[in-house]
Amino acid sequence: MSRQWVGAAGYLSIFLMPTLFVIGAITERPWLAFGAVILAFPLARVAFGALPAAGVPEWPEPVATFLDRLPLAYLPALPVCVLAGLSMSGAPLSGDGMALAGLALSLWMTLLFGTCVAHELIHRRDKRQAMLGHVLAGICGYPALGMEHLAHHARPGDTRRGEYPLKAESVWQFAWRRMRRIGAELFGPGASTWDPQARMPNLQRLRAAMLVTALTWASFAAIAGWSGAFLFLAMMVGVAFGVQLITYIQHWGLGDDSIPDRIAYGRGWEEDCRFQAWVTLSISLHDQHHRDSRRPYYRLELSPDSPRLPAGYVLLMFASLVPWVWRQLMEPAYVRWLTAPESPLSAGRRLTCFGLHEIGAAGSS
Amino acid sequence: MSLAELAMQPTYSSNVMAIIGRLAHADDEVQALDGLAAAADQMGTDAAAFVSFSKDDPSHESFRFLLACDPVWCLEYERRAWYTNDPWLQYCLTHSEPARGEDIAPGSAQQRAVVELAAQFGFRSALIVPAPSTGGLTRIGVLCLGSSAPGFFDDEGYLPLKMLARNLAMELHAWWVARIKRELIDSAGLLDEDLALLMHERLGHSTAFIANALDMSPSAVNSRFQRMNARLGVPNRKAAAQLAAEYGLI
Repeated sequence: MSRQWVGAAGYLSIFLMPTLFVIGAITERPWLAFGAVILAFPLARVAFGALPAAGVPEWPEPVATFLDRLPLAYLPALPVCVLAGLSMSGAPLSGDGMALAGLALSLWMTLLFGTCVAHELIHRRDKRQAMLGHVLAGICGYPALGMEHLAHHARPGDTRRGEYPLKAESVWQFAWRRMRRIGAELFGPGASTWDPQARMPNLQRLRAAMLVTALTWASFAAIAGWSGAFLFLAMMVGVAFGVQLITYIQHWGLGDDSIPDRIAYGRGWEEDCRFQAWVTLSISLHDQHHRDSRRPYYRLELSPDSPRLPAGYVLLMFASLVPWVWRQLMEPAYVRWLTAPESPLSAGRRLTCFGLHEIGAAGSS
Repeated sequence: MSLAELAMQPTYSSNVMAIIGRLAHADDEVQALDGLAAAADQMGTDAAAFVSFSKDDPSHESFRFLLACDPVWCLEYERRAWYTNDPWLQYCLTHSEPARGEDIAPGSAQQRAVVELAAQFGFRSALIVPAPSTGGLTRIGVLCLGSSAPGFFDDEGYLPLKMLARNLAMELHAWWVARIKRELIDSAGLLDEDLALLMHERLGHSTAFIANALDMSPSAVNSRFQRMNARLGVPNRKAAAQLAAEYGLI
């Protein structure tokens, strides 16, 4: 049992980002949280390695119950840390440009990781927990997350509506296209969101999330004045873009324009870094998540035939911003999956799989 | 022929009831769909659809369809993920009375678009029949009967049709609930002993009590729950029993 507790403790890393954000504010190092993501998170693979081949444990009931409640404990922790951190961030908000950039990037990453926890709750069967997932997405500045994500699951492989990216489009094109569609669908004139008589459960949840976003914005404004108000507006744009960026990474090349006969339940790229699975609550096990979206994060494991990313999300987030670099890194992994889906490649304790796919395809994986 | 003329025929109700009576014996979705199509045909409607979904769960996974109409409608409906904007489904969340389509006013442009799409595929006139959930079940059903003739449901034949449609909706709902229950039992590999454990848990019995009642050791009870929780994708026995109750297993 104690070994199981140790294994489960890894998921406590979801609290790392809010904690680092506060520590950065206290120690007047506003870059701290962002710097940790860029520099330390990719290296965590070297320390913690890949997910065990045996899959997830059965988890004794006390451990599973603890893991199940972890996202609920995160819900109050995030706004407390963010608002406390903001109230202690005197220098960045008083005009120090570099410090402000650090604060904004740290906050962006903190809220973006917060959407991973929101995502877990949004998929819960329990209607109260699902509502809290939407509320958490609202705190993160992206109240549309729940609605757009459930529609994303309902339209596997759909590139026309921007649920999946076209293989030929860049992350910039995809994010713009998808954000415009979501905006028009949920917030445009004629949307059911504005009809008080429309009372389907997820519309109620969306409205609650919008209210919480407004309250969070007001809190930012109350703590830091106009700087805080503009900062949170920037976060809303940043988090919305970040979510589309992650969607791009998870589904690039897997839409109906590329693999129309293999879409099935909606294929997704996976990555077997253990730390990444902890800190994102298994969002990186995305193929399995699309196969069974009700399965909680602590019971997800890798699909044996899923496409495997050649590196972790952090590195690929930056790579995707430069389309040429993205293609250079992803094409070999893509070809590998198309030709040999049953023998995916793992980086093990290496940082990435870059350059290994050609060797692997030749049979030495 | 108008609905009133159809309903006046002496065998109208008995023919429909005979089809409804056979639904309980449908082994699969094809047979259930055949029953729905035959019943709709006997009732004189051009199109019929039955939707089963969990009222607390807005995700597409909870939705199940039986379509005795143009499948392009459902395809379009699903492609647009219109579950949230459907005024007919929304009506059935809070009502148990059947209603004609024109009595359910769409509130937003998106809701109007849902109704207009249905009109293009045989539901110019529509009768919406809720099949509410009972007990701990969270799943509800919605039967939509459609006609391409405007005002089809407005004459004297409406009353007998409404009664038959209610019977049909409840029978299809019961069929789906049984079907989904069976799916859960199969996918989670639940045995009779597992269901007995879940029943004890639902009644609030302690591990020692359950062990005594089922002639097992307490550690065997715990271990069995642990394995079952993993298969059901829930954290603990309380959540497992809750899920079982929602699916009508216990």
